[in-house]
Amino acid sequence: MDNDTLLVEQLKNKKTQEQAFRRLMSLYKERLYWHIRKIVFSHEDADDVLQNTFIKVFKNIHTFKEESKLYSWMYRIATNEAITFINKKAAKQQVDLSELQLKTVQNLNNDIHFTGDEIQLLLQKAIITLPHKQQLVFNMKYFDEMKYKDMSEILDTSVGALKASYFHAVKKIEEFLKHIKP
Amino acid sequence: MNKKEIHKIAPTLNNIAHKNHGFNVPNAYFNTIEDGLFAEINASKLNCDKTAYKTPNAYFKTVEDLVVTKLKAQTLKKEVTTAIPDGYFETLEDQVLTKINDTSKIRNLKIISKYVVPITIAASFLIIFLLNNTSKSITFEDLATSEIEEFIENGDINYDVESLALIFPEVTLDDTYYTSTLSDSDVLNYLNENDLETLILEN
Repeated sequence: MDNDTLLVEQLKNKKTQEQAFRRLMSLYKERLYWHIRKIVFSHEDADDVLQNTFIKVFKNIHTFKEESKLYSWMYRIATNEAITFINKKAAKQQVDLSELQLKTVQNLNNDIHFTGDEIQLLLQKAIITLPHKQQLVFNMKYFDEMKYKDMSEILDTSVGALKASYFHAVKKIEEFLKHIKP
Repeated sequence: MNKKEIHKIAPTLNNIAHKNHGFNVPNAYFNTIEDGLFAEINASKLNCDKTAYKTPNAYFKTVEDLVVTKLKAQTLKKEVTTAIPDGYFETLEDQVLTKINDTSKIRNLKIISKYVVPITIAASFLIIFLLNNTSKSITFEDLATSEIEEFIENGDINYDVESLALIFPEVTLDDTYYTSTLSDSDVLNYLNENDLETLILEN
């Protein structure tokens, strides 16, 4: 029995659930956090979404059918939670998602939890010019160095499509950086 | 696309140090996250218990209408009860006493009618019953001869000799019992007015 199977078994057992869940969180909290953070930008928002993600995992562990990896399943929940969050935020502010992202990135310099330099800020500005799904692909591949096979499970997209999407994302960002960079 | 490929098509991107996105977190954030999460999960478990209560189907769709209807009813009641006619309290006693008296008459009548009606119905049934029992047709066979003779002698029967002649054609009436009330002149007049031959033929 591999580690994932054992962990899932312990998570589904009420006697061992809490302990197993703590272990699950310690294993995946940082990876999930950074994935979420790159979507929502703000630390406070990322913290909210991360908590929501783990709560959802805890409540729905009995529905996990082990057809995919546990990590892929959790990553997918985190992605959906983050997208739902920013869409709701945009709707609340009565703006579309692109406008919200632009406003957020333009204020990144004022965010105490952003300590990137000029080029890193520029990169964030470049990323938000991509279509929303392409942004996800770029972040997961470029920053997280995730395998296409794992990305395919999380985003429910074929490996070929993901490769093509990443290629186009890289080209667009390069053009943006060349154009803007002094 | 591997690193070499990125270097070829996106050298600027490739040069970004350590692929750092520039974001950071508060100190010790990741150390405290589990406790915060379990507190959240336990709190949400308590909320789940509260939501174990159920409401009837479509309750939340109809509750607004129910509340508005009740409020309207209360408002209407207030409007009705706040206005009273002039001199109402002065005449109240008389009105009440009048009603009491009327009520007692009605009550008496009700008492009477309470008993009269059943009695009347019973009496009606009794009469109908008796009538049915006495409705048997009476024939001459039921009467005694002495009763009939007595009836005739008392003069309770009215008859004339012509009717008797019709009823009993074969009976020869005794002259002593037959008295003519016709005068000779009446007879002659009659004979003059009517054709004798016709009379003879008819009779």
